[in-house]
Amino acid sequence: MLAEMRAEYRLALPLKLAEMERLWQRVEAGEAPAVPFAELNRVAHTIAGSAGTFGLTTVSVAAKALEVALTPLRGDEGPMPAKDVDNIGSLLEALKQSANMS
Amino acid sequence: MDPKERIPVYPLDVYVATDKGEAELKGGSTSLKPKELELLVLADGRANVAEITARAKSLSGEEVTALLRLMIQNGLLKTAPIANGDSLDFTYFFGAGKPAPELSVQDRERAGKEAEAGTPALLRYGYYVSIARRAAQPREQAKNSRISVLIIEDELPLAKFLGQLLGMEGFEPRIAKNREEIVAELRRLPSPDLVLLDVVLPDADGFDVLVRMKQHPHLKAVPVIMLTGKSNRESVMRGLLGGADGYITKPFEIDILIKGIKSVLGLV
Repeated sequence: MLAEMRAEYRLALPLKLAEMERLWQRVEAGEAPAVPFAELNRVAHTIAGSAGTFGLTTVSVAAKALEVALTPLRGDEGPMPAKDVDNIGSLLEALKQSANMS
Repeated sequence: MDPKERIPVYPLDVYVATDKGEAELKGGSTSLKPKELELLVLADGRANVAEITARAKSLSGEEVTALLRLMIQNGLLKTAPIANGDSLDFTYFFGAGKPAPELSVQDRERAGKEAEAGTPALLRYGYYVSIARRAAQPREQAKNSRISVLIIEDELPLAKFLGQLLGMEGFEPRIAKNREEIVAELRRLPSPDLVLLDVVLPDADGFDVLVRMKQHPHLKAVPVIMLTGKSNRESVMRGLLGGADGYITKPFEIDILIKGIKSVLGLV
C-alpha cells in the first residue's frame, strides 16, 4: 500500500512545486506579497511532513529547510532583502532538484 | 428551497426557549400545538437534539428536526447561551472565542516535562517528537463496533494513506480536510473515539480546534493526538497544554503512530 501511495504522491509532487514556483514569483514581484508568502510557507510545511512519511526523505528535508527559512519572514514588511530573496530562491531550487532526483 | 430548511440543526446542538417561547409555555393560553409544547419543555438549555429526540414521546427524529427549525424560525427557540464556562453552541467553534481554560500547576508541569522529554529526540533526529499519554482505563467498545478515528488532515494523499492504514488496523476512519468538514464531523453522532489533528490547515488552526474541543462538554472526553510538522518545543507545549493526549510529528513512522493511537486508547 505504501509503495502505491508513494508513487501516487510522487506523481502529484510536480504540481505542488509548480504552485510553489508561482507563489514565489508573486512574492518576488512584490504585489501584495503577504498572501502568497503565507501560502508558500504552508505548502512547504505540508510537503515537509507528507514527503517524509511517503519515504521521500530528501524532499522532506529540503522542504523543511525552506519552511524554516520562510517562517521568520512575513512577506509584508516592504521589499525583501536581497540576501533573503537569494536564500529562499536557492532553497526552492534545492527542493525542486531533490524532487527530480527522488 | 423553504427558508426553514436552511437553518442547520445538528444532533449535538442545544436550544432553549426564547422569551416568546417562555410566554407560550407559562401564559394562560397558547396557540401552539401539543408537539410544539412538548419540544419547548424538552429544549431546556441542557439536553441536546439527540437527547431530545430520544425523550420525545410523540415525535420521530425527522419531526423533531423539522419542528425545531420551524420553532427557531418563529422565534420560540434559540441556541442555548454559554453557561459555567462551557458552551454547547457550535457557532463559537471558530469564532473569536474564549481563551483556553486555565490549567492547573500540575498540568503545566506535566506538559513541560513531556515536552522536555521529547527534546533529545528532536535534537537527535532533526525534528521528531512522539508523545502518547497512556489511557488510565482501556476504552470500552460495543460488540461488533469499530473504533472510529477522525483524521483532520488537509493533504489529501496523506489523509487517504492514514485512512487506509487505520482501516487495515481495524479502525473506522473518518476524514475532514477543512473547517467546514471538521465542524460537520464533530457535530455528527456518534462522536469519534479519537482525533488525529493536523495543525496547519488552509482555513483553520489545529490548536484552536483542540482548545474548542476541550472546552466542549461532549467532545472534551475524546482523546486527541496532534499529528503535525510543527515540531518546536513551543508547539509541543501548546498542544499538550491545550489538552492533547499525544503529539507526533511528521514525518512519522507507521509503527509509532499505531502504537501511539493504541496507547492513548488504552489498547496496549
